[in-house]
Amino acid sequence: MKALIRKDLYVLSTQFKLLVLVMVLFSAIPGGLFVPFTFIYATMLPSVSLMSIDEQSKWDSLALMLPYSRRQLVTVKYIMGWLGIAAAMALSVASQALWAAVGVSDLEEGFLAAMCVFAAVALVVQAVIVPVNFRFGFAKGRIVTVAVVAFFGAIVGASIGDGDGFYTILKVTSRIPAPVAPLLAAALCAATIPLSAAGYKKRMEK
Amino acid sequence: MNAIEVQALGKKYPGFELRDVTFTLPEGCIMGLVGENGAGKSTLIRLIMGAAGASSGQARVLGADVRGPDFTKIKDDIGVVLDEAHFPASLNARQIGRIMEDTYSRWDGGVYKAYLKRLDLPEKKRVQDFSRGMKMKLALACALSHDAKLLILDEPTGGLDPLVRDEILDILEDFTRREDRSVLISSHIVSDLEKLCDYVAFLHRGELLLFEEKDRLLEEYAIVKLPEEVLRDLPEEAVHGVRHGKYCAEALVERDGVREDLPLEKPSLEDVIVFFARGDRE
Repeated sequence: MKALIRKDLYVLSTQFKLLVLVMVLFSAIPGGLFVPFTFIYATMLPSVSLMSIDEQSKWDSLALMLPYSRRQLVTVKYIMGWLGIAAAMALSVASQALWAAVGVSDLEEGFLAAMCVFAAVALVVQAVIVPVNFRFGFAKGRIVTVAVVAFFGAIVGASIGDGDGFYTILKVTSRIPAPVAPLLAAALCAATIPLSAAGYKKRMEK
Repeated sequence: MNAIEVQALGKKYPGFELRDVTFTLPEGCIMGLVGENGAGKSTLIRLIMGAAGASSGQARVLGADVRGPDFTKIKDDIGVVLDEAHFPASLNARQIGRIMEDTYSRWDGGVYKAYLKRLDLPEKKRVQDFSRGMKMKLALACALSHDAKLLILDEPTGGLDPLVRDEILDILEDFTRREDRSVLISSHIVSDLEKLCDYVAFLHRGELLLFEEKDRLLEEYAIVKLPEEVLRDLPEEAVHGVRHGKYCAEALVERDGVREDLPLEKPSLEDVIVFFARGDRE
């Protein structure tokens, strides 16, 4: 597993610097309006970026002949997704806290709770798109990926667009106990690992 | 122990079927898997490595059932080279070495570096900037740096210039100096296999037409050039493919199945393979 995580981190650092940079920028814009987009990018880490590179380079064919189990090959993409969401959360909280500390912007009430809800939504999105990409491959799976990400992106975009929407989200989500939503979503996401493994087996054994 | 045991292995795809493949590769031996493009060589290798599920039959590699739960651990003893490097293009040889270090329990970084040096591969250049020959050499360096007992190579010399091919064949010869090491190498370049192999398997249109020790194969069969009317008198079961010419015909025959006074010539491995394929066609 360590080898697979290392490989994906290398791929991210060499091939997706721009994606990582955009995540950092969105998380750091004062006021936190663009923070949701950081999470949208995080959900795309495992499927849109890493799985597509695996398919393109045919690493997935080679990996099946190396001492990795199918379960490990699947689980590593979930781990990368979770790391991405954790990084999105950490970056957003740290940068917004920094802006608040230096007086550039205020840290809105319920900001942390909203981060937890964004993380939960990102995990649910992953729970949908990762199994689809493992079953059908990136070329077909990206249609679903784009549709799901666009759907959530549109909701976030609309809420930011009407000015008060983002702050309404903060107010509503502040009522949800912080760790509940992401923990439930993480459990749901983890529960789809066997589904992804089965779909992957079916596709690769063709 | 046998390195590979394959029993009645089959796989059905729409428009292609690998049928009833049976062979055994003893430990310490090199087997060449020959066949035209699309004959089923890569499919057979995927089945042997447990990367695809067989429609019928079974395969055991280094004593383990390839569909069994322990086979993932057994892969630690197997080095694999596919027809391309299959590493993410943005990585370099040093990064790939680190990934392999975490992959194989007996990975030897010193051996890997020595191979990179011997094969003239830069450590910090990205794979995407490598030539095809360099990519294959990198894949070979990875496959040889963890003290593998079995090496499985799928068309490692395809599309390479003769110098690189020769270099790769030299390395494989070095690898098999230790008696407990076995190799399965597939190729449609028969001359490469003739230099290297103890056993030859010929896969043609999804069917294993031939599996034999190479030396015995070259002793058992002969090429004979005769007028058509003389050739027609030869026992049918001793003739394995005929090439019809303007003045005479050329045939691959079993030495024991024909008269000793015939002008028999020693065939090359390529002759045997080509005539078997022609025989199948006819």
